[in-house]
Amino acid sequence: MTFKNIVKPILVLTLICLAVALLLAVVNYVTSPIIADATAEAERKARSEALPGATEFTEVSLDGYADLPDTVSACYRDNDGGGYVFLVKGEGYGKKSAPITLLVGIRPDGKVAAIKITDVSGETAGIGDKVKKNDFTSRFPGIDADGVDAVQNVSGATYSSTGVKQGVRDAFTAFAAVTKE
Amino acid sequence: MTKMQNFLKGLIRENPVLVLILGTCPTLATTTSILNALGMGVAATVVLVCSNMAISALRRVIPDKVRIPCYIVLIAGFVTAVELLLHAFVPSLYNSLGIYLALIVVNCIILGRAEMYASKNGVINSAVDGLGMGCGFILALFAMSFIREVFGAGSFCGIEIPGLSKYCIPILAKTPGGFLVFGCLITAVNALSHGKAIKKKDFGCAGCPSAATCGKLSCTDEEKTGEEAAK
Repeated sequence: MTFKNIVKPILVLTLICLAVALLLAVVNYVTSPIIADATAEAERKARSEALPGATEFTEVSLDGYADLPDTVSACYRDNDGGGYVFLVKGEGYGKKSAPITLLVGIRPDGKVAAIKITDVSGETAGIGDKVKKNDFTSRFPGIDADGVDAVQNVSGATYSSTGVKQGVRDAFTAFAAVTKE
Repeated sequence: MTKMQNFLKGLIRENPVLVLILGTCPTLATTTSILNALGMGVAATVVLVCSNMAISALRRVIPDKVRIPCYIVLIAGFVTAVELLLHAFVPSLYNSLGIYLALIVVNCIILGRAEMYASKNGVINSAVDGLGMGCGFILALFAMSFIREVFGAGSFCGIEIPGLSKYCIPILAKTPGGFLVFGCLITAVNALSHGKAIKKKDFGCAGCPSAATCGKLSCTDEEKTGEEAAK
């Protein structure tokens, strides 16, 4: 009675949990290197898209710079001197909890090479996430730090567009700090 | 019931989404594009068939008291495995499904079939039942996403349809449009089956997981006892 009512359920549940955990460990062992490779490759590709022509990057540490906007999370320098790529967050409709993530490529002469928006999950599907489209991102190449405000927003998606622009502005702030020396 | 009938019942007569009205959340959320909907449908079907088979195989071992935790652990295990495999081999689908992939764990279709069918039937029958229900889910998702993407966004599988993309109805691709299309599809299935589909569903009080502890024959009994208690 006691065994059937108390011990058996515990035993069965424990065994099932162990078996499932074992199965997942095997699956994870097989897939984790593939996932890591794919993620690294996707990041490298995205950086190349933000800075056309560049393939190899070196990460620049941002620890030493004071007064950087905290939206700038990483900086990469093109090994061939083609400029910098900044990984920045822009506050769109998803506010701080689900910011727009974008890569901003800036040439050494202080002009945008291209921008690549990597995450718009916080924006409204079909409205705000239109900023990811080429129609909008193609308005950025060639502009300098003063030209960001003049870029036309996506109609109906002012918040999301403003978030992207704020990200680009922050990238310029970081660019100015990194290239000052 | 032959295996064929068992498989076919999931498609229309007991369609999990349009007749049993289960799994509504992923249905509304992932049907904005056809490819997402199909990805969601296939992923859920794989999980459904695996979990149905595992639960059916273990049905004599799992004690009644802890059956729900056991089912959830098994289902969550399969979902996580599918999630990892998709992340590794189909990253684009993994990214577009996002949170809804992990939410397959709490998809009522899967838990519902485990409780209603797999816990009482053999492994093969359960697998067939899972496959049928999964195909019904895919069918419903496809029908909904077809309407929502073609008329809501003017494209098919992401390819713009010339002429239609300028005259699309954007609300169909939004949440309210999802409910609208969902309601219309339920109506259509009812009209096609002359209302028989709804009556056929086996969700009476006998099918309720708490039937044994509840002890009442129908839910109206409960109202009466409630009134009596008030007196």
